[in-house]
Amino acid sequence: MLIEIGMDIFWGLGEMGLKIFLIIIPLMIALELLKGYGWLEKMTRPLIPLLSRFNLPSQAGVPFLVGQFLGLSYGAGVLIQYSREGELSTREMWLICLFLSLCHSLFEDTLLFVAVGANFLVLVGFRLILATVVTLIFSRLLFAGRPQNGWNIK
Amino acid sequence: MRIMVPVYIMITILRYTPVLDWLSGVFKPAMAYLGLPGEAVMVLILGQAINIYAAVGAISGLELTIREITILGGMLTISHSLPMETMVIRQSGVPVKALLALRIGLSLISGLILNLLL
Repeated sequence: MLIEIGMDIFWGLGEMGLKIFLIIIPLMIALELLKGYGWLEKMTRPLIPLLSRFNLPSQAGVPFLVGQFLGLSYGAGVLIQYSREGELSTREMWLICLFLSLCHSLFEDTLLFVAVGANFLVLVGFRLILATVVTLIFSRLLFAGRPQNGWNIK
Repeated sequence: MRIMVPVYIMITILRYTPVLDWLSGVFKPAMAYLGLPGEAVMVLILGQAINIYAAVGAISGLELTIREITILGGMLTISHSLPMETMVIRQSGVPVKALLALRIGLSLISGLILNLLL
């Protein structure tokens, strides 16, 4: 009995550990490179048309991309910096946080599930579509009839 | 990794006890709407309360199909690590209660949708 449980744990751990290691470690290295060379800032340009659909300014592109590649903490870090500099309104900040809370670390989160068998395209596609649709709905709701800055949610 | 291994070991040991069967029975009717077996409730709770690594550790410890793992992935990528991530978002100064409610609600809706689509 105990030996059986032990073997079960040993083989399972080995298999899980190896898969995660093979998928996540190269990803981490790629992300460190992205961060180190400042490539993310350069990648924001193609995002501008999408952001304008959300009624968001082009500055929102950096926290967006940083959130997708480096994770929520880094994305929020960039947002905090912007809010101190007064570059984004409360409404804009909330919309970015909405999108980022639904969809961040797009590759890391997804690949962890892919390592144990989930379908990559289904997960990435579904998450992007859902976050986009929900943010689009709220960007319309919050834009209509509310002042740009004095708006708050309880 | 530090969280994934203990969770995996805990779930594997639990599988040899009646606890998991009991839990599975209790949550079976509710989880059926999401196309998931009762014991998958463990994965959802661990993912929401701790993080995705914990959820993946639990998935490895259970016997789930590709379809079930994809549904769990869809639900948990949208909403996970709630205590930690809510704190992170709060630091940027935006109100978080509505965001938190939206994440949990949309996660459940995603489970229903994925169950119908896949």
